Amino acid sequence: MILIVSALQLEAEPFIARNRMKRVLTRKSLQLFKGGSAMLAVCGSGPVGVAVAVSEIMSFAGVNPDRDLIANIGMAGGRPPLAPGDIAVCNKIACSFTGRTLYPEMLISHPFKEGALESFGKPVHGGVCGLDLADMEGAFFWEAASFYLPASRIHCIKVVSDAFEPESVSRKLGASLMKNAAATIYDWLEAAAEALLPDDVKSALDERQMRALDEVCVSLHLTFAMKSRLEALCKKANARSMDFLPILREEALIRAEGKKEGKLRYEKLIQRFVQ
Amino acid sequence: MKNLSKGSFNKLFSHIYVEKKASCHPKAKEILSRFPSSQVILIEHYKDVFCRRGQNFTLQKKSPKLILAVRSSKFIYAGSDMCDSFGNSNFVCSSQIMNCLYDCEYCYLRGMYSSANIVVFVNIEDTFSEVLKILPAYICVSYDSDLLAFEGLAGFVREWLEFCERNPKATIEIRTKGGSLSSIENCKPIPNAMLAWTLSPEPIASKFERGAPSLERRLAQMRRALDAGWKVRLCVDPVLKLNGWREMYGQLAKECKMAVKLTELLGVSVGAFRANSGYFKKMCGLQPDSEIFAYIDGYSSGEAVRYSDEEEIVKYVSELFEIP
Repeated sequence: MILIVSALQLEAEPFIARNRMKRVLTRKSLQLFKGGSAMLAVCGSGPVGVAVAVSEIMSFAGVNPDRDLIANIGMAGGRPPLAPGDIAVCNKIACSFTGRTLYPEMLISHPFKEGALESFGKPVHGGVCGLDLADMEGAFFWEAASFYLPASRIHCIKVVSDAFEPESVSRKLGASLMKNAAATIYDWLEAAAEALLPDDVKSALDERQMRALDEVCVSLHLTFAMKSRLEALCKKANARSMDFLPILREEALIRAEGKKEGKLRYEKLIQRFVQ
Repeated sequence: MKNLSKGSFNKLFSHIYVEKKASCHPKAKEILSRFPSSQVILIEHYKDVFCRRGQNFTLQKKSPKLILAVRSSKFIYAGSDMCDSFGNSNFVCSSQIMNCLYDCEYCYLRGMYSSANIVVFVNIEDTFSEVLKILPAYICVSYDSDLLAFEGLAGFVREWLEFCERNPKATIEIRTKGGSLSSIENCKPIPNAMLAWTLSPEPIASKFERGAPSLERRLAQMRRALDAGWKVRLCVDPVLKLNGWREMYGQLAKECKMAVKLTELLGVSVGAFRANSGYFKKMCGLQPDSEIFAYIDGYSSGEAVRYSDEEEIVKYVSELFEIP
């Protein structure tokens, strides 16, 4: 699932429209939208809102750290050579409150520009920001998101709206900049999510093997710990391309008289895997 | 954009993180000049990037970044008990580069570091100053990386050789899987520097040593090094116990003997796979379906992880490489 957190409605609108998202009415405290395989939260400007929104969207989505991806997408002031309309992926994020600097993973290739972002608690002008980009959410978003997801699945993407003159950005201009950028950003997020999918684990047990394992557990009266060890051995046997299904089936055929007999047979069974 | 499909990772060293205090160092400038299209990001300390939380070693291996830093302490450290000191009393290691270009599935670096990014400490002159204080010493300069594989990037092997030429009491071992001997072709072989090639049977090299040169190439490079007058050691370490390992290592011995006379070598070192238990746990987590780790059942925390029949394995392989 692709999760998006944006500060303003006008920043979120193109993504809501593209994915035909619907408002999640059960969440009154936050504007939360869902559609297809995407979810979006509108958090309002500033650090507290974005941290709450990240927490809320993560818990509502039941985030999967191996498959899901989250992005903060919104407008930011930018220093030349960044110009209004440019899309920039943040490769360094500084927090003006804490003085901490974060370094996002730059694993996936992209067609955008890159820049270092500094996040402030209020709108800032030219002289204050020493980096390429300035906003009011990025660093706080990143810190909050990193509680839930690995660094490779957290992205901060900014659309340059002005050259550190926030009052010069009208609603109309902001909406237009975001609309122009949204499709490219979303397509890239989808491609990144696909690229980051984990490889299949070849040692995982298939249905027949799981069934045979369950039958052995019943036959030998195995405890949870014993079953876990046997399952781990079966996975290792898979990695070694050992055909252990006949061994399990043979063992499952005769039910042990009691726990003592089960334990003895279990120890012998283990030896067949370790050899 | 839609064709940005799976596998669209950034290229090697697409981003280079440079410590502010390293940025003025000539070595850093030299390295940066080799990557004009890389994004350069200034950082305060290499650990800000290298030790971040939430890193994924396996993913980072698909797109490793370079970190240029200045080492301020621990220039050298005592050699591990798990490594062979070859009878040398003052056995130390130096780690001018952390992490490796290759991605060997059994490598302890996967358990030792939380990041697959590569740290190059540009101030090798400070390492030399520290080494001077402890001479005579046997220094393994290429354990936490493959220094020869990085020679085209960092040029540290050449600098070590020049150091050893000036300081005969320093003996160095440069361990490598590398196929890039040409990068030190102009260097004169010296008696107190040896090249040590790590060899694995071809089926193992091609399956588990991703990115490393083939066995054939390694043997060819060894041959060239011997012909050029270098002292060469052969390391069959780690020996991996897999299906058909006896045949595979038998074949390896045959191929080695065809490429070089064992009497020409400084020695053959053999060691079975072993690892610190903490590292091993992390390595298994990174590769839960690893065939290599599937042959190790159970280990105690705090103890080294070893094959239960380690002695027999080492004896068997050592005999294959015995000089008649």
